[in-house]
Amino acid sequence: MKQILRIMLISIGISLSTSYIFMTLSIGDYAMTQDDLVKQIYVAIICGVIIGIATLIFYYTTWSFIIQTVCHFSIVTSTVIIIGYYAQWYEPVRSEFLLVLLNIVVVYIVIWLMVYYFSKGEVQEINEALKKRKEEKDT
Amino acid sequence: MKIQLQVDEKYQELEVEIRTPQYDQHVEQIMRQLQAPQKIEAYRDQKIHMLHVNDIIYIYSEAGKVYFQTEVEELLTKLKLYEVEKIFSNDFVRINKSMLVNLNHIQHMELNILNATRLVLSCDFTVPVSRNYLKLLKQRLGIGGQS
Repeated sequence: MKQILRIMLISIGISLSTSYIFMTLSIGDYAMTQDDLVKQIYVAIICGVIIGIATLIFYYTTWSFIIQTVCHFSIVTSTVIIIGYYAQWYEPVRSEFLLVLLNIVVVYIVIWLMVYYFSKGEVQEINEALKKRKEEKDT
Repeated sequence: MKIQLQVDEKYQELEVEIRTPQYDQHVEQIMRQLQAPQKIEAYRDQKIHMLHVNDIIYIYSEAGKVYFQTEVEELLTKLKLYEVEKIFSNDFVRINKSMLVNLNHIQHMELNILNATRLVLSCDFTVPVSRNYLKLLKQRLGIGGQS
């Protein structure tokens, strides 16, 4: 339960940060009203919760990593596209839709690389512990 | 650690007495080691084999059955995976829902580009590590929390 809560909070945090970055980049000189801002925060939290639930695929299924990744990416993409449509993140035209899709892919790759480097550190730590254990057994 | 050995005919059976100022992980590990059986029954071709724990590289369950994987063969056990896990808690660690690996047979861990982790064991066996059990493995290796 603690782990599920941790995953959800990380997911909501990433969602809010990403939403904030995109709002800052796309807002220009337009002044956002308080209602708009609150609405975007709610939308980002909903996105974060859904993506957080999808992330549990990596923890609680026995599927291969490729299937887990494909499912996770599909859920993330569908969530952002559907919620983004109702939250008016983009106009329902092809060019805007493709731009949103591109943004999703870029954000997904960036987060993926961050997780990869974190995991790499974790694996290195485990290998060092294994090496130390072996040395202790040999002596 | 001091080790004293007393050989005397007055003892009816083997006795091990531990004297310690405090009960800690080290004492617990010694006790687990002493209590753990060194051999276990396993079956192949309907014949019973006594398998030494060190000969088992990993243990896995498939279609409701539990198997011991050694260097050369697979043997069946009548025990459930959680029962084996309890018996061999000193030497084995669970790495995914259906697998236990012998800590003494782990060579190293690998990470692929898909962020999937796997363990390379003796005889080049490779087994996937679920992200959910990574923390447990770290604990057993004395990193990332208490064991």
